[in-house]
Amino acid sequence: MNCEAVGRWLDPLLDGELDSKNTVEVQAHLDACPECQRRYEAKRAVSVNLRRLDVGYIAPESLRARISAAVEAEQLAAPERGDVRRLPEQIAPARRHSSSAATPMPRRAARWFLWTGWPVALAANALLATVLLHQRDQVVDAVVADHVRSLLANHLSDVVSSSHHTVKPWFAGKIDFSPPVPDLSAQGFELVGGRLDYLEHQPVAAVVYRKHGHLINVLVSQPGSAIGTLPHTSRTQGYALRSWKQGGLDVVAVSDIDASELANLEQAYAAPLPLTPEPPNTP
Amino acid sequence: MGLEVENRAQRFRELIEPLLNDAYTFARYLSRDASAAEDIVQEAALRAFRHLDSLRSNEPRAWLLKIVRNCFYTWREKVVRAGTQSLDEELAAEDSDGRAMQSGEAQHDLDPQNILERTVQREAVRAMIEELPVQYREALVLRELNDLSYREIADLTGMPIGTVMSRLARARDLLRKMWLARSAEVGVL
Repeated sequence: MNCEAVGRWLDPLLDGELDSKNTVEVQAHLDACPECQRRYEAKRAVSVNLRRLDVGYIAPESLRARISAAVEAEQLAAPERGDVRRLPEQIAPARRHSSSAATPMPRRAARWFLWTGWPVALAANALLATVLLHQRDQVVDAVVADHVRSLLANHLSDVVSSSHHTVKPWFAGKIDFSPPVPDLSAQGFELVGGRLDYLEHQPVAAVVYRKHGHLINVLVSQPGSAIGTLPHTSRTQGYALRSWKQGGLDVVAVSDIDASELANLEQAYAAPLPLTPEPPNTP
Repeated sequence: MGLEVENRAQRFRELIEPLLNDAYTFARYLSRDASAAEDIVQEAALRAFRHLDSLRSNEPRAWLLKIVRNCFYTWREKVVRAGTQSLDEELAAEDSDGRAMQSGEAQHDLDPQNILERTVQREAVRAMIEELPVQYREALVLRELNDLSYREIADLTGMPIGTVMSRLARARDLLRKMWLARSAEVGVL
């Protein structure tokens, strides 16, 4: 792959959207090409800083209250209505009616909708929109719950040791696969210990690391588990998840640490990529 | 009140209410107007409630954000027709490849920062995102703040995945340039 081709894949790589074959190729190019590596780092810096600064918004309480009130009003107005999927034109009169009732109608009821006949096609699109059917939200929540529980219940580790020579053998006999327990201190991830857990009714090995005071649970399970259904990266409730497959095992790392650190962890934790020697590019 | 409606209310509380921050963030960046964003989200939430039966997916976020997007366009059409806001979203031609960032600038620190400084930075960056043309702004917000996958963004916007990819790349490049320019003006950002 030359620099131009690699340039197209930098954002997908950053977003965990690249398939494994291209990931290996792009990564190999980045390792060999400082210029592309810098471009990648520049993109990553934008992404990391956006998340660090937390530039999203919180919905105002007043808005939440208005929505609750509006939903309540809808409920009260609902019994006479057979089909909820009315034509858009019918919505306006219905809303006027409900606002004249005793129910507190939200002050800022979107006025412009009362007198705009909103495009039927657009609405139908929204209704019929099929999005990917994934169980994964449930699994994401289960992983986060496991992480939180391990912090709250004082049940972080069954075996407490900073030595992988102690932690790895501990799993033997307790679980019928052998989770990797690499020494990642060179990358700044200090081994805390290991424990046994159940996730979605399947046994998982948890290997715990710490970096900059953030605890990271690396959950490892046999293939075909719930972990295997996770997307490469996800984020919920302030926790970042990063999932990958490695040596026939499914792995997910979860932490409140910056998502980029989980990427570093994956890189360090996963078996080193076979570096295909590539002739120097002439861009 | 029918059981069906009550169930719907329950489902709304479980599925939709937790997503209101996402919805508001998306509406706010699209409209660049705090009070319009409230109207948009309120209308979107009502529509979501009315049509909750048609939500089959376990991924209600993309579903809700699509409704938010439709509400945004309805709002914008209205505003544009009223002549109070011009369509300012045409892309200014600009080279896409900025010079490579110095490695020092690419560094992101994880150290705890002074809260005030951080608030100032946050507002500065929010303003920069608002300056992006709408199609780039949308891709960036959906990916970085709403955490949707490329596939979900493609479904939501009706664009091919390749377009999503290039818009996102462009958005990041543009934002980085603004960020650098502003850093040069005011020092570290």
